[in-house]
Amino acid sequence: MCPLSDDALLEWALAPADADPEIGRHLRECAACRERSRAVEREQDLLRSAFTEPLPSLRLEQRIAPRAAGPVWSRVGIAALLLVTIAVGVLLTRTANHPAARTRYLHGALAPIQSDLGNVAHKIAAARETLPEAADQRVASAYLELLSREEGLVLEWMEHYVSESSPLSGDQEQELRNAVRKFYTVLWLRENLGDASRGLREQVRSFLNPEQILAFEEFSRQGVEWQRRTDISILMEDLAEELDLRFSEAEKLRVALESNYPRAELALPPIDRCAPDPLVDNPSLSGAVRNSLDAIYRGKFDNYLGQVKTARERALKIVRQTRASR
Amino acid sequence: MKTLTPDALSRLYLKNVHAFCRSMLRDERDAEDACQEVFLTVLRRSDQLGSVRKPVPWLMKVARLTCLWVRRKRRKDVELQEADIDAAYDPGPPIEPAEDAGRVREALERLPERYQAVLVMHYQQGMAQEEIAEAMELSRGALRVLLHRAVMRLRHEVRRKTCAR
Repeated sequence: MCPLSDDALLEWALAPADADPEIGRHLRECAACRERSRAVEREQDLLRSAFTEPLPSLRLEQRIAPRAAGPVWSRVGIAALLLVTIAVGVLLTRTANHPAARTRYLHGALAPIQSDLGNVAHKIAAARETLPEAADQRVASAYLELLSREEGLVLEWMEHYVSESSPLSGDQEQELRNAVRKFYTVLWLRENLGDASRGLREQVRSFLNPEQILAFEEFSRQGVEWQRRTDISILMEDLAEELDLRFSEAEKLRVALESNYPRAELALPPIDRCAPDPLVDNPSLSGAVRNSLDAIYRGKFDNYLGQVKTARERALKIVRQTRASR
Repeated sequence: MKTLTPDALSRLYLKNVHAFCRSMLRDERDAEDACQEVFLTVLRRSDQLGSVRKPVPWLMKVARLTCLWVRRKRRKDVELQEADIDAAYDPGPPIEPAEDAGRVREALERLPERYQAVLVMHYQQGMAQEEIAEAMELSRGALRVLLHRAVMRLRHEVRRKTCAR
C-alpha cells in the first residue's frame, strides 16, 4: 500500500467517510504518506479560498430579494411595476423581428422539461430491468405509461423550442402533433428509423416558417446531444454498479462510451428504445466497451449484456402485444 | 415541515446562487441576469415547492441549467470543451499553496462545464457529495468519479499554465 497513490490521497481528502478505511489506518502509521496527505489538505484549503466570490450588488438584491417587512402599498407598486415590465417584455418579444432584439432568457420552461425527461429516461431504464417474465397487465400498463410520458415530454420540449423563435399557430401546433404521431405510427410498423426521420423532417418543413424550421433543426441537434449524454450517464451508473468498477476502470469505460456511443438522427426516441440497447445492437460499441475493461470485469460485462437482451425482449413483447391489440 | 416560499428562497439563497453563477459565467452582468432568471423559475414553479425536500441541490440544478443556457447564448466554448473532456492529461502532484487564487480561477475557466460545476458546488458552496449528486442528477458513485477527475484536471490546467510562464 505504501506509498499511497495520489488518487487514494485525494479520495481521502475529498470524502474521508467514503474512502477506504485502510487509507486512514496507513496515514496514522506512516509519516511519509502523512506528509503527502498534508500537501493535499493544503491544496484543498487553497481551492476553497480560490472559489470565493464577491457578494451580490445591492441593485441585484433589490431586484430579487423581497424586503423583509415593506408596507403593503410598496409591494403593490412593485408588483404593478413588475407586471408592466413583463408586459412590455412580452410585447417587445412578440414584435421584434431581428433575433438579436429578442428577450434573452425565454427558456424557463425548458429546464423543468429536460429534468422531467431525464427522470423518465432513468425510470424507463430501471423499469426495463424489473419487467416480469410472465405477462402482467398492471406492469405492462405502467411501462407503456412511462413510454407515452416520454413521448409527450419530447413533444412538449419540441413545441416550446420551436415556439420560442416564432410562436406556433393553433394549426401549426396541431400539424406538428400529427407529424410526430405519424412518425411514431411508422415506427410501430417497424419501418426504417432513418426513413421515418427524413419523412418527419420533410413534413415539418411544409408547415413551419423558416425561423421555426431553423429552431426545429437546432432542437434536433441539441436534443440528440442531450439524449446521448443522458444515455451515457445512465449506462455509466448501470455498469459501474453492475460490475462494481474501480475508479480507474470507470474512467476508461467513460472514454469508450463517449467515443463510441452512437448519435441518433433525430431527437425523438423510438417508442421501445432504452439507453443500453446500442450495446446489444452495435457490436463495435460493445466491443470497445469490453476492451476498455480489465479482464476480471469482462465476464460480468457479458452477463450484463445477456440481462439487457432479456430485458429488452420482455419490453418488446409488451410493446408488440399493445400494437397487436390496437 | 414548513413549505418553502419563493420569497424565503430568494432571501436565504440569493448569495449562494449569485456566487455560483458568477463562478460559472465570469461576468457580473451575465451572473446577475442568470440569477434573476433562476428566481423567476422559482416563482414560476412555486406550486411545486412543497415537494422540494432539499432546496440547495434543487436551486443549484436550476442555476446550472440557466448558466448553461447563458453560455450557449454566448456561443463560445461549450462544444469545444465537451469534445475536449477526455483528452489525455497528467495531473501531477497537488497544487502548491504558493499558487495564487487568480491562477486557479483561470484554470477553472478552461475546464469542461460539468467539471466546473462540481468544483464550484464542492469548494464554494460546501455542498455534501450527496447534494451535489442530486443537483447534477448523478449517482453517488458517478459523482465521486466526476469530482475526483475534476480536481485532477484542475491540477493539470494550473500546472500547464505555470509551466508555460
